[in-house]
Amino acid sequence: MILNTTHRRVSCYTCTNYSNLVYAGTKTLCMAQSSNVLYQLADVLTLPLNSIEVLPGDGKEWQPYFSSQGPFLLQDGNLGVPQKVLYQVYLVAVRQMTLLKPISRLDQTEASNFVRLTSVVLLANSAHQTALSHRKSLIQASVLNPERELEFVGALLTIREASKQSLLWYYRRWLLRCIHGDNPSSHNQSEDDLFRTPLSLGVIRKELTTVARACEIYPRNYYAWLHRHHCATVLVSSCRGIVEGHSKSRQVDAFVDALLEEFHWARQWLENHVADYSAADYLVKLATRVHTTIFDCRSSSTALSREADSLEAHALSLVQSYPDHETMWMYMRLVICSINSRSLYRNDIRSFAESIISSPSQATVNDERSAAWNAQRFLDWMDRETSRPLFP
Amino acid sequence: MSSQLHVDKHVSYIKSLGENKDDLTYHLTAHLRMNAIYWGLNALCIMNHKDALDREEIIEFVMSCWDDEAGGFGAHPDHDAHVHSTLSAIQILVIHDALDRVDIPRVVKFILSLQQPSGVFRGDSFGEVDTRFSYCAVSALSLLGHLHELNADLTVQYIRCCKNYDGGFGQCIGAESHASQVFVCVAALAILDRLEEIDYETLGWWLAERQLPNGGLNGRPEKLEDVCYSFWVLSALSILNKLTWIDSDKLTSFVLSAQDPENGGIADRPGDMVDVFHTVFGLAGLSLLGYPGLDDLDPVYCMPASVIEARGLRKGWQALPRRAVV
Repeated sequence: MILNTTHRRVSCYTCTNYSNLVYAGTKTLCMAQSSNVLYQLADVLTLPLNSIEVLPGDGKEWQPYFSSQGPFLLQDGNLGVPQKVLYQVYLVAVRQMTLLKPISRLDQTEASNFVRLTSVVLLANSAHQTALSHRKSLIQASVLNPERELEFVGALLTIREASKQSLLWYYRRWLLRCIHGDNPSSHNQSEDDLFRTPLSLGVIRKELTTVARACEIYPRNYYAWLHRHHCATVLVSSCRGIVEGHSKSRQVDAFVDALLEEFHWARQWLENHVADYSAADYLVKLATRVHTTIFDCRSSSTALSREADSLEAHALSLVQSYPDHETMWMYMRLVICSINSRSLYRNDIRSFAESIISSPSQATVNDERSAAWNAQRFLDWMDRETSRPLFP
Repeated sequence: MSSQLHVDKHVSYIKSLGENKDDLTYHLTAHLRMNAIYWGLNALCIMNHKDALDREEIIEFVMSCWDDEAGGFGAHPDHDAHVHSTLSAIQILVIHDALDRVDIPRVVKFILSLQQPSGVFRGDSFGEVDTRFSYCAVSALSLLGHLHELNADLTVQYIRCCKNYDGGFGQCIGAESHASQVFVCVAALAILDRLEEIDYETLGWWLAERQLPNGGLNGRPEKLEDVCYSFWVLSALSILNKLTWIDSDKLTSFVLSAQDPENGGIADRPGDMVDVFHTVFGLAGLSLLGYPGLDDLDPVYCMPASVIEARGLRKGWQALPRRAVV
């Protein structure tokens, strides 16, 4: 069977599940070889991995570098699997997976087999809901260890298409509740949040690192930012000392420092990713949460409020530096509307917008038209907002 | 660059979709098969070619996805029941007037069991929650004639909490506004007759600002234009009665330019590969914009308007009048 080889990338998260179509080329492996490779790959997936990459092509050019463990690259915990090899073993894995008995009736060997099959299915197709459901059942049946599973999911999240699968991020929170939940049935909790889960600072930091990496791999990663939002909620709650196990003041201080760090991180991220509106949305929501939270310690409260209040000046300076980026103007709108900000900068931003429109070359950016377009939209928005009765 | 809609090519494209069952692609998209069939069928309906796909074959496939343990439909035989594939199954059966094949009380029970204490819906036993699933539940119950069994206040309460300062809605509380999430929340509120929850002006402007200088629409600020937002954005605007806030000529040109004039189908943007998802939502957008020769689409249910009217479910939305010529 010979088909055309094409690979297509899509940026629309909504349709990527369906649109990321990959066509396999000439058959690389026969059936028996596929089965063998499937198990070699499954074994590697049980190891701690730093990253996974699906390599274009059938792997011929990589052959001299293949691992002794199978037809893929493996170095220092970085796995590279040729696309055509992966998709051929996927077909075998999916077929075998549907033939297996329900998990409750599996013996130990069959259960291990289930783990291996589902790991390969998810490697090729991280949106395979049924495979992920099987993994969840295996955790509940104590066949799979949730901490190891968290590592496996972390490795999957380094694959570009997987990094923006909502299911994986949801599963990650479920695993965190399993591992760190303060009662045995936390994983049965029906709401998808973390604020009742006492995560240590170390665990939170690991999650934030995982999110940052996913956002580099896939810009404007909606579900990664949402996951960060969930983690920030725990961070803010922990600063109040209300999360069970975190009430000692030294621990609270550590969380406050971490929250201040998070503000700095988010500001810097936005400065380095000037088209990332998701970052602006995140940063302003963080500030809003700080403003609406009552902290036990006055100095923490002051330090955090100062961070939250600094965003208006931050937004103004970014708009002036990058007026051709809609994100910066939207950041300004968010700050004006969401945070209880003093109206120190309203006249400044209005004058700046008017100057861009009347003389676009003043923007000193490559894309003057975009700058003027953004400025006009901002002024129209400001006029609408100031005519509303409840405008702050 | 196309300046006309290649209906015959698109019909052939959709007919050819199920043909290569040995394709890897076919297997990689199994978890979306039920949705894909609804997309294809709906696209054919919009083009007035509903009978291009065999009715019995489709119904047989839908019924083969029945998950008797859960009481709902999966995306594919041997896939777990999910509220999204259940909605697609119901939409297909309603279009084909075959709802009598369904054990309605069991499906209603399955859907209602997915609602969480906060009011949001999970998709299935796996547990992921999303306002999309709230919409799937509300729409499905409405089509089955069992909307009265839903705790509407609780459902609306959660959606209200997802509203952002910009008037838009996200996947869950605290999530960024996104055009597809805006559609599901607005449409769910429309079905529940609770549109007073929406700030019409603010959201209307946010939706209008999705239009880029090239005429295409994006889903969030500073993202690329994509044909599928022709539906997500336009449907929300038509429910809010603000469809004239978009430059319809420019958008029409954009959608037409994303067609494959030789092999049929529509892509996310010009030059990319086509797929059935963008085909149906491109056509849906064109229908709402009054493109000649297309059938009327109900934007709340994303189904033929005549089918929805016949069931007494039409809400107060407004599309652009159907033009006689391009």
